[in-house]
Amino acid sequence: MHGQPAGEEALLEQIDTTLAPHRDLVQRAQAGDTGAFEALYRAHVGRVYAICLRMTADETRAVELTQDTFVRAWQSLGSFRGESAFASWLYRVCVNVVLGHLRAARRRAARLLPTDDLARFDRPQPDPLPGTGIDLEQAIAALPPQARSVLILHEVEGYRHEEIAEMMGIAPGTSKAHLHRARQLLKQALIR
Amino acid sequence: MNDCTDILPLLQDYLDGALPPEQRRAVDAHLEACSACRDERAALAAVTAAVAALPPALDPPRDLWPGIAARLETPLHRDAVAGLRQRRDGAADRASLPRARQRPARRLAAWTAGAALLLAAVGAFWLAPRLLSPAWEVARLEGTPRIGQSAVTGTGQLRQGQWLETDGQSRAALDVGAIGNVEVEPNTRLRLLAARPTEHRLALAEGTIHARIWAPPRLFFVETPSALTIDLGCEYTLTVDSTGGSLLHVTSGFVALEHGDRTAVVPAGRMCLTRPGRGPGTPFDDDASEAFRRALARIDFDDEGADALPALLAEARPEDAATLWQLIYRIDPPQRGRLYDRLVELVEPPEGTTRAGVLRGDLDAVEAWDRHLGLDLDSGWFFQFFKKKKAPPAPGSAP
Repeated sequence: MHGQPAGEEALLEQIDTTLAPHRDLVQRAQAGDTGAFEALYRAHVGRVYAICLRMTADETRAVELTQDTFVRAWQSLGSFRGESAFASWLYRVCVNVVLGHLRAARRRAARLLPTDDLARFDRPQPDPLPGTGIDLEQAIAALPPQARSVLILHEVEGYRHEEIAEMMGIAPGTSKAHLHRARQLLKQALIR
Repeated sequence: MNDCTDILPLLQDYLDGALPPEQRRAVDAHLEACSACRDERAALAAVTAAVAALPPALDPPRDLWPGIAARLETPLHRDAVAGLRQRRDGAADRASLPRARQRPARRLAAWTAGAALLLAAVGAFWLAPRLLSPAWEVARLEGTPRIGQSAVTGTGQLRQGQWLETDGQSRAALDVGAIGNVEVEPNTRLRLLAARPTEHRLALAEGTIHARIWAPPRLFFVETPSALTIDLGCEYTLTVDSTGGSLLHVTSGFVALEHGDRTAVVPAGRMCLTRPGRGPGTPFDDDASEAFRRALARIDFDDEGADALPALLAEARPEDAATLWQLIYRIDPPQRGRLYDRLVELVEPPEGTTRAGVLRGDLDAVEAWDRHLGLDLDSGWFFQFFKKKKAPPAPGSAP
């Protein structure tokens, strides 16, 4: 992970140096300092937006959910005790916001088209990859929503299947099945 | 376990390092002998590597902070709003208010009586469904305004949490429950935060709105990145720029601006600037000279009171007397005497007040000056709406 060897002490010092400014910003934001919270926003918005965009495959929705994430984080700052890194906590808030949105969207679809067979809506979208070039982001965007969510959470965000299962309200085995499906569909897109 | 059909389902866990050692050894042995399964493993590994190599961060299409900042309720905001509600309910802790801003309880009584009178007059039958509606009616005025992703072609409903956006060619009108209306100018983004009988609240992230509110005070709030705008029975135009700063222009009644412990009450015919992190400046006459406005901004936002005050005083006209008066308790105490002396050159001081009393912040003197300059709110909210720009008292000499 680190390009040059570093003793444990030097490494800890480096971690402290990296995290200390954020710790100070978090404490100030917890006290109501919007300037400090803006600095945290600037430091993390790219990652949060990437999660939202990849999980929803919808730029407008991703913008809204990014904003919702930071508003939710601001409202919940009091519950952040600093046991984990602020970044991990914030990304978890983001994932919960996005999953909540996706669940609501599925519920709306279920109300509009009453059917138990929701899987039929869970199909890959039409091929967004005309021609010979392949854009991995586009191929991910074309995945079925659940498979796409599991792929992003597992492969990009590094969550384990047990964690994903808990967040998404599914069984760990289902999370694995979604990941398998996502990989197979991406593989097909890559070799096409 | 030498069959490909046994091996292929295990490849995912194999790649994830999640197989028990015994199964892993069996998969290794099969892969060594089977080129088809090796190709499958290589393809899946390539997918995993490609996804893992995606950039962890992506730039959003625009700066999202103004929209977020408009929705943040700071502890200071919350305290301010709670304080306002307390005052509205007649339970204000008067001792906690700044001395210069203390008001007699009779104003609250007048508002309360006025509210009851209006509600009785208009009738619950007509009013109740509108007050209780959790959404605002939207009407297209020009172009194609959008609620979220949906274009508004005729009329629509803006529900709590939804965004209304206008582009360079579109305008829209909003019915704020039964308490007023708002016109939304081009290139504006706003979000409905609350549509309750006791609170109508929107966030104006960017752009311009004209609001006309005939409800009792403190039912209609607009959050901007730099201040909370509180209706006190009024008509006004509010513009938020891309930096989060805003300009308020009140055309009738009164509007309060708050940010933290900074408050500005803006009467008809006056404007007020706000800046992110600083809140509202001092209200000024809408005909004030450019030099006067520049000097005022330096005092309000750049902490250059001592340097900018001479220019401000030199530029001041009788119409700017209210600005000098509203600045008197904001500026550093050593400058107050100079401000007061210029003030009484411009307008006759109210009877019974003295220089020493004003500089001490005596409540009687403060209230007398507020009334003298048309800054008092004692006449009841239902008269505020009809209050238009007031001419200053005739010039006079110092007492």
